[in-house]
Amino acid sequence: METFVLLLAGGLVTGAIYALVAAGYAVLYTATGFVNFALGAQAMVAGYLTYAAFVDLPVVVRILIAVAGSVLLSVLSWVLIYRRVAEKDMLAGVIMSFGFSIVLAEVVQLVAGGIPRPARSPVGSTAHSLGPLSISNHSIAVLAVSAVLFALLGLVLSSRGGTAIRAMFQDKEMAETLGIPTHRVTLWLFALSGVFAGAAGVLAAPILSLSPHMGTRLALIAFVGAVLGGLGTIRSAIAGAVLLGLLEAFFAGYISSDWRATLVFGVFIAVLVVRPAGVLGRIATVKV
Amino acid sequence: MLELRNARIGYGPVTVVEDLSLQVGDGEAVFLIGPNGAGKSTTLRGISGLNRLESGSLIWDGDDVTRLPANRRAARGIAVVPEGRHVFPQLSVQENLEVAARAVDRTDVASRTDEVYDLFPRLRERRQSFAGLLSGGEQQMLAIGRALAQRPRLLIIDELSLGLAPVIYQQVGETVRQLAATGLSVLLVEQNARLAMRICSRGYLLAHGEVVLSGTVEELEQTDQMRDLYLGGLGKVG
Repeated sequence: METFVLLLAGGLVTGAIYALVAAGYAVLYTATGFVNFALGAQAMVAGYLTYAAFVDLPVVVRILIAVAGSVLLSVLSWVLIYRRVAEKDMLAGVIMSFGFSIVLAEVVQLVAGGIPRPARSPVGSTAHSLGPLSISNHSIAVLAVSAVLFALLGLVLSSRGGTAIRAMFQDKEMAETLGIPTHRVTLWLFALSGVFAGAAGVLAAPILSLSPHMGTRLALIAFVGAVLGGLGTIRSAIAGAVLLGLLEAFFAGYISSDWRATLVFGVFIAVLVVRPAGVLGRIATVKV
Repeated sequence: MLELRNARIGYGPVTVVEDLSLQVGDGEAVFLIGPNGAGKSTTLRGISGLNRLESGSLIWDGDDVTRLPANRRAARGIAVVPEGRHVFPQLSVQENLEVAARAVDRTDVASRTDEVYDLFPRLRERRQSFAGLLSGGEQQMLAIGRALAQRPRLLIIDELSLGLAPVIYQQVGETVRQLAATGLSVLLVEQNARLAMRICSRGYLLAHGEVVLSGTVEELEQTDQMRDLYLGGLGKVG
């Protein structure tokens, strides 16, 4: 029982981090059909900005810089790198985002060095015991922050402006014909996905520790989670990522932690073969 | 007030419309008719801005709007009902109308949606339903209502009757005819020539991306092409 509760909590925490990145994927994918694989690298950069650069500044300021940096990377990479290509050939743009994430990782490696370094959580890692459950401050912060961000995302999408975004998700060309400025909305969505990637990086670094390639893994696993739930709707992508975090935790705890990566990508292949729209997806809009 | 001059429109390397000119005057209702692949929908996409004009120009209200992005044309008073209706399936009827109304003007949204409900009372009954759950006829009403919620001066409709039962498209067509009679300009693409001729006063026959025939409804009725292709047996009925 105790193991079960611990694995459940641990799985929820990693799942929440995957879900932040997955939300970033889904926000972009549902509206534009674009999969931004550099979200993981943006998270990594945000991690370095929070825990390695500007160590003299107060932590709140560093977190703000980190999220702003991720937002900026998100928007600029779309405007300067992907957009022109993606408008002609979406897949080429998607592959470019993968390339861009490698470039970001290499740049960070040159600037900050390739050796993984620990990151100390701003809220500390004091553990609390609650019956069979033992949970650290940082884990609580991960759950709280991601819950707040998902709630805010829900609010944004149900607002009046959000109706226009949802219209664009459902039929971009029609939204454009009706006068919705889809280019501008796309920029906002890239900024929004940058917030989610940045938050994921700030929250993941103390768990994974900082390394230039931490983002690549995060990007891939979160993508698998999003596809597991269904990349075509934001809610199911988030749910899928949380589910994957739980699967991974229970698999590692009860079966084998050496095979967890195999599990993750085994799940990926199984989903694509059996239910390409995702376990929770209703519309078969996922094209990978 | 709308004038398309020598337009060439296509998709990448494929040119569909070679050199097409047409006009819709103030308060005039005009139809385009022609076989599949004649370039009717492509012409409409050129006018709504979804496809660029590779050459030629589009004049609206005396302004050259050839390079105006699609999303800025609605605010100028051009509203589109696309082929296949393209309502937003996972927005409610009310949200479909609001999002369209708001996209051109943030004031007066409620009164503009109310006007649509007065025109199509059926939509008022279903205002909270997801648009994807409506019948084909109701979706067509919503697609037209959504365009009207923008208080356009030109209403572009691609395939009014497609996929609808006759009793439904007659009814929707009658509504459009009344709107046209009150001074709204209409550009209608329609396979059903009789329906088109009842709504409009003038028309163009397109084939292979060119205008092969044009004139008032009375003139077109007299031509062999229209009679043979679209109005077979009209004389006998009369």
